[in-house]
Amino acid sequence: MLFAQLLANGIFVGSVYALLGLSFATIFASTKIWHFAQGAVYTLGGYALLVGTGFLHLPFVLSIVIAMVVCAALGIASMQFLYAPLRRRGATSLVMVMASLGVMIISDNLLLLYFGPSGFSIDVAGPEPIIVGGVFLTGGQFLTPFVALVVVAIYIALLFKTTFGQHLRALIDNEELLLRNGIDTARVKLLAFASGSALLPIALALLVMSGAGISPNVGVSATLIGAMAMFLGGIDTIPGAALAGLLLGIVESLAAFLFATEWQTAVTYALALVFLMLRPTGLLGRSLPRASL
Amino acid sequence: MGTYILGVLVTLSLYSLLAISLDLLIGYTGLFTIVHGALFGAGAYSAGILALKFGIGFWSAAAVGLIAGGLISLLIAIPSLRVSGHYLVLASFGVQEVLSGLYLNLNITGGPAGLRGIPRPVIFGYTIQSNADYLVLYVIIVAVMLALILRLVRSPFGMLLKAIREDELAPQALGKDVFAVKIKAFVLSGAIAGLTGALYGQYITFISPESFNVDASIFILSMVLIGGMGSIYGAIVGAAVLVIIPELLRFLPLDTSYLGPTRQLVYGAILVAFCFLRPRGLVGGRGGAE
Amino acid sequence: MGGLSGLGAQIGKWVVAGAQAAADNLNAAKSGSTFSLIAEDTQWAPQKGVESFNKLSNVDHVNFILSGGSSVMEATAPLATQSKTVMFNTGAQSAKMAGISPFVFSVLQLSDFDTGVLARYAFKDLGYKKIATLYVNNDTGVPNQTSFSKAFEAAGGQIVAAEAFKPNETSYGVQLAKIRAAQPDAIYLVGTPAELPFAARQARQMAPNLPLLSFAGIESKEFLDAAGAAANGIIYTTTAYDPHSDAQNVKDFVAAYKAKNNGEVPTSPYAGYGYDAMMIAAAALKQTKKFPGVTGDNVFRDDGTVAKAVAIRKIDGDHFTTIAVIQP
Repeated sequence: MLFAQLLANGIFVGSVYALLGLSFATIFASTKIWHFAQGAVYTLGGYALLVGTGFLHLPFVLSIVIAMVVCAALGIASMQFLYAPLRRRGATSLVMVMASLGVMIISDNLLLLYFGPSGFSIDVAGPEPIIVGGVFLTGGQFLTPFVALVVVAIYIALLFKTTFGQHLRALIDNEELLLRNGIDTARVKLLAFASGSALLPIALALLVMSGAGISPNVGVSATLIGAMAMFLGGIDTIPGAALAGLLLGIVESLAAFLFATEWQTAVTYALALVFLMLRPTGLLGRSLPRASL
Repeated sequence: MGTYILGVLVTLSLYSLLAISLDLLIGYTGLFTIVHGALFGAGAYSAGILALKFGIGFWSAAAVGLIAGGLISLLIAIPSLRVSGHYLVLASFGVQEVLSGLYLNLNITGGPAGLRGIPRPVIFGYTIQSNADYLVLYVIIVAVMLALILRLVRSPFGMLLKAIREDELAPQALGKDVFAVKIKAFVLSGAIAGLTGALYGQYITFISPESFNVDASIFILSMVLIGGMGSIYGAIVGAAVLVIIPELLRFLPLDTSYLGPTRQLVYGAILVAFCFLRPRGLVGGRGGAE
Repeated sequence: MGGLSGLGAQIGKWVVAGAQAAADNLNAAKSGSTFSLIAEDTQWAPQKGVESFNKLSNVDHVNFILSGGSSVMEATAPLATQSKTVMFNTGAQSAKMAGISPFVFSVLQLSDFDTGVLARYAFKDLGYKKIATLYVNNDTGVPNQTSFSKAFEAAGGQIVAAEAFKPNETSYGVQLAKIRAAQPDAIYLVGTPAELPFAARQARQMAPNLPLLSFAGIESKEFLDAAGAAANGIIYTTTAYDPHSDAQNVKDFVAAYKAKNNGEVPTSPYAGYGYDAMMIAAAALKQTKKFPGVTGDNVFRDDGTVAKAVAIRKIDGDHFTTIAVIQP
C-alpha cells in the first residue's frame, strides 16, 4: 500500500524530472556549456506563470504558452549575452559556470526585491482526486505523467525527425563536421537553448498544479536535478536524460520506503554514485568524455 | 573598528587556506570537484566532536581535522577516479550531498542544532580569545602551510600535477603512475580543507551543518575561479575579493527594507563583471578555453 | 541583524520593520535619546552572523543588538558575553536558547512552552489520539517537532509518523504518502515561510480530511495569501499578540508600522518581537523587570528566557480567531 503510493508519487515527480533532464541535456550535450543560469530562467518562467494566471487571470494553458516563449527568449539571451561573449573573450568553462551562478544570484534577488520573499500559489482547477488500486492521487498527480509523456514523445520526435533535431544530435558528436558542411552551428546552438528552455515552464506548471509554490528559490534545485538526470542518462544523449529523470524520481520516492525521509537526499545520491561507478557512461550514453575541463 | 577588521582578516586567512586546497585539485591537477564544503565540515566535526567529548588540545584537534579531511578525500578519490571529467563533478557533488545528510541527521553531530561550546585553543597555557590572538595564530599556520605548498608546487611533483592537467596520456606514456598521483593530490587537498575546518570550529566555537553544504562548496569554488586557477597567490586573491567585497557592501547606505537583497544583487553583479573583465581570473595561471 | 536574504528572509523583514516602527515611535516621543536602527544581513548563517555582530558592535558601536535564527544565536552568544553586549533574541525558538549567555534575552517564548500547550490541547480538547508530524529539517523545525512530540506523548497520545522535508522543498508527496499510511488523526506542521503555505496546500490535497495543527510561525497575512483555502481551520499556538487590540501600545505600534509599510498591518508576531525588543531596551534605561509589550507582558527569568502568555488560535477564512489564552 505505502509502496504503491510512493511509487505513484515517484512516477509523478519523475515525470517532471524527466522534463528537467531533457532541458538541461539538450543544452549541455549540444553546447557543452554548464548552463546554471537555467535556474534563473526556470524561476522567471514561474513568475511569468504567476503574472499570467495569478495576476492577470489568463487561462492557465495560455500562461504556460506565454511562459514558454519567455523562457525560450531568456535561453537565447543567455547564450547571446552571457556565454558567447565570454567564449569570445577566452573564458574557461569554469569561469562561465561562475558567471551563470552570478546571473542566478542577480535574478533571484531582483525577484526578491520586486515580489517580496514570500512565495506565491496559483489556484489551478484540476481534475478531482481519484483512487486507483488503493493509491490516492490528486488530479494533478494523475495527469502529470500523461502530459509529460506526450511532451517527451513530441520532443524526441522533433529531435529525430526534423532537420534541426538532426543537426542538434550531430552537434553532440562532431561540431567540425557540421561546420565543414556549411551549417551555421551558432544558430543550432541558439535553437538548442531555446527549445531546452521552453520545456521548463511546463515542468513547473505541472508542479504548481499539485500545490508547489513560486518563489525566488525554486530554480536552484530544478537545475541540479536536471544536471543529475543528464549525467545518469548519459551526457552525450538527450533522450537518456528523460528516462534517467523518471527513474531518479522513482528511486527518490521509494528510498523513503526503506529509510526515514530525512535521509532521502543522501540515499538517492549514494545510489546514484553506485550506479555511476558501475556504469560510468550512464543509462544510454555511448562514450566517456575526455578528462579535461 | 579594530576588532571588526581583525575578524575579517581571520575569516580571510581561513578562506585562503580553503581556496588553496581546492586550487591544488582544480587548478593544478585539473580535477574539478564540488565537495570541499563537506571536507571542510569533516575536519570541523571530527575536531569538534573529539574536543567536546575527550577534551583534546588545539594541535591534536588540528591534526584530527587534517586526518579526517584526508581520509574522507581518500575514500572519495579511489572510486571516483575511475570516472573522469564531467562525471567526477557529479560524483563529488553526490558525496557532498551524502555527507551533508550525515552532518544534518546524525545524533553525534548534533543534528540541525549543531555543536556548541567548542573550546578555544590553549597554547602553552594561554587561551586564544580575541580576534588579534586568533589572527596571529592562524596567520602563522597559514604561512607555514603556504610555504610547504609553494615548495610542493614547484617540485617535480607539482610539475607532474600540471602535466596531468594538460594531458593525462603524456605522463602515463613516460611511465608515471598517474592514478597514484591523483590520489595524492586529492588527499592533500582534502587534508588542508579538513585542517581549516578544525581551525574554523575553534574560532566560532559553534558549528552547524549549513556551513558545510553545497553552497559552501560553491563559494570555495568561486574563490578559486575568480583568483585564477593554477596559481596559489591567485587563490588567496580570490579569497580576498570574495571575503572583502561583501564587507565593503555593508557600508553602502541602504534602506533596511531592501538591504539584504540589494547587497546580494551587487555581489552577483560583481561576480559577473569579474568574469567578463578577467575571463581567466584575476591572477590567472591557466589559459585556454575548455 | 537578521536573515534578510535567502531562507527566512520574510522573518527578518518582519523583525526589522517592527523594530523600525519602535524607533520611529520612540523618536517621535522625544524621550531624550534618539534611536536609530542599523541592519545587517546574516542570511541565517552562523559565519555571517559573527561577521555582522562584529561589524555592529565594533564599527557601529551599537548599544544593543536584535537577532534571530538559532544557529546565528549560537555562534554570536559567546561574542555577546565576551564584549558584554546586550542581545535580544527576536526569532530563535530552540530550547537551547535558554541560558545561552547572561547578555542574551529572548523576547519570544521558546518552543517547549507553546508546543506543550498545543499538544495538551490537541489531546484533551480536540481528542486527537494519533498525530503525524511534518517538519522542516533545520534549527526551527526540529526543536518544535521534538518538544511537541514529547509533550503529546506525555499527555497520552501517540506520534505515528515524523516526516522531515528540506528547506525550500517544493514537493511533499513522499512525506504525505507516509503520513497517510500511518493514519493519524491530525498533522502537526512546522516550516519556514518558504515552505509552510505549500506544505499546507499539498497536505489538504493529499489528505483532504486531516486537520492541521501548526506553530507560531504560521500567523501572518503572507501565509494566508499563499495558502489560500488551505489555511482555513488550522489551529496553532502563538504569542498572545493581536494587532487589532485596543491596548494603547499596540495601537501605537500598528500605526507606526503602517506608516512605513504601505499601510500594511503587522500581522506577524515577529514584527511585534522586533518592536518589543527595542522598547524593552529603551525601558531598560529606566530599569524594569516586567515590561508590557505589544506581544504580551515580558517577565524575564534568570536564564534570559521570558515567561509569556500563549494563545491558541484558529484560522477562519481570512482572520485569526483566539480560542484560549494560557498564562505561563
